[in-house]
Amino acid sequence: MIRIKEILLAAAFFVLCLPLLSQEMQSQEPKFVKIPELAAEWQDFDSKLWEKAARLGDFKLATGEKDAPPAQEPTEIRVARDDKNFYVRFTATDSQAAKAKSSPAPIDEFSNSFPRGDHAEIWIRNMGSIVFAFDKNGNRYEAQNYDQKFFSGFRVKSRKTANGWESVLLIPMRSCINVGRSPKDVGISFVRHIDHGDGKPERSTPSGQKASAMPAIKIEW
Amino acid sequence: MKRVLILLSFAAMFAPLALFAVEPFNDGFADKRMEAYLENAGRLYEDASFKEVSGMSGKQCIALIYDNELEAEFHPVPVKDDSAYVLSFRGQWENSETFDNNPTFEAAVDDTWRYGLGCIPTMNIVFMDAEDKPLKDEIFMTMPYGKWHEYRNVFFPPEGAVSMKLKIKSGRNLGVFYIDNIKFEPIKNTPDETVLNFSGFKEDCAGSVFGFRVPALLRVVDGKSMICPPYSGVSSAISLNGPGKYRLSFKGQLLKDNKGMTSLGVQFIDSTGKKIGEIASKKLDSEPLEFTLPKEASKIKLLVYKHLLEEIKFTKLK
Repeated sequence: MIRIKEILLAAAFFVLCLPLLSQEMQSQEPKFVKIPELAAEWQDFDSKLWEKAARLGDFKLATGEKDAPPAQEPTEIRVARDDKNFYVRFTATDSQAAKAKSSPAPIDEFSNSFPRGDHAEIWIRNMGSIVFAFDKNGNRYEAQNYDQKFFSGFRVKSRKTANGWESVLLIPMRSCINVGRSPKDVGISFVRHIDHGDGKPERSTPSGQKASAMPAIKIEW
Repeated sequence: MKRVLILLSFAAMFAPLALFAVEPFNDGFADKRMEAYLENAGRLYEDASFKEVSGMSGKQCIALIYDNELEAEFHPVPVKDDSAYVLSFRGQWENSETFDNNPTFEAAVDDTWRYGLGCIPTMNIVFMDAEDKPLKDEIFMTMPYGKWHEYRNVFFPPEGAVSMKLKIKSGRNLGVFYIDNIKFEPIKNTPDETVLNFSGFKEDCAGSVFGFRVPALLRVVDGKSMICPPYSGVSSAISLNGPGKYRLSFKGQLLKDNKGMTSLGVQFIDSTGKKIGEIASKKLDSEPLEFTLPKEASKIKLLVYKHLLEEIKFTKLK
């Protein structure tokens, strides 16, 4: 009789914990969830819609080892999509923001040069290897298979904050994945490159994998 | 008849010199004629030229400035498929974007997907059989570094190879790729002993050693450079001195953790490239592995589980 009671208690405990477990699983397996309303609000850094987007955080040094140490500064990524675009909010906390070395602001909005110094990168592997890079000063860069003549139509808006900097991005899906096939996932790396001018830049990714690993993130169709 | 004989003896005397004249490696590009090195010099026109560049170690460099995918093809050189070779040179890519200033070129270092590599300098070693037909096995490498970098490949030519050709292209970019001091030499082994040295690579070196890619698999432990093949990593084909009994001795380290098996073995490969058998040891650090290479096997491959390789020696037993 006692055994049945114990089993019932354990089952009830398990049922109660299910929502927590599913939340945990969700946070471990982020996906590009569909938030059509972001099409109108993606440029609003503080839009409440970003809170509905999947979150990636806890960046680790991009050593490629399983026990990679944590990055020196926190980074948070939010990802979502609608029928046409991926939307990303990149939040870079930097307790030594004054030391950060970055490229000066670009000459015009069409310039496509790799941001030297403090910046962030998004790597996507589906139709070749595509890289987007951006920084707090508005520098932007895109290349497909190392070819800078690539033009995806991606847009980025950046701002400096009290704790670091933040960017929001729109990446047209057609430029980097085969939308017609509705792929289940997309190989993607988010990279934070911290440069405090000490000659020791730090590169970190959500899992500590090397940027070129580009782990898969599921797409909700 | 006498004239013909005189002409023939003349030709015989100068034939070795003529062969030497088309030897494209090991002289630091001392010859001022591009056709002395490149088989397709005529098609490259001014896009391949000699330059003297700071930091070079040869007499002059070859500068490739073609914004295209046309390869500079060096004259073929004879090879034997049972001998190991080292082909090395130095390279520098003067371009607005290189791995030295754009960390996203990290992905290009060990990439082999050629379709996606049209914009960066690459190297390809092709092998030809007795009928001058290209063989399937090639050695391909990307060269995305900006500063002078050493590129080094250590290999046995594939079964049936009688000649080898080096091809280098600068890729679709507006930069210049400089090639300096190409060296090509056989690795001397005695008939009874084949030594595979995995420790000759430095951290500023890229290439491959018996099929294991550097720098991806390079580890420097206590100042010694070693190769750490991936779990169940297989080398390229290696020639031994015919069928018979061999002893394999290993110099290096075991990767000690409790996950997965630790062993080092030999796969027997026939002339078509098919695996016909294998043997492995789990305690190579304490005792060498002895095996008999069957008559049907023409080459072997190493099969590595969690070893850092410094040197592997095959001794033929009487």
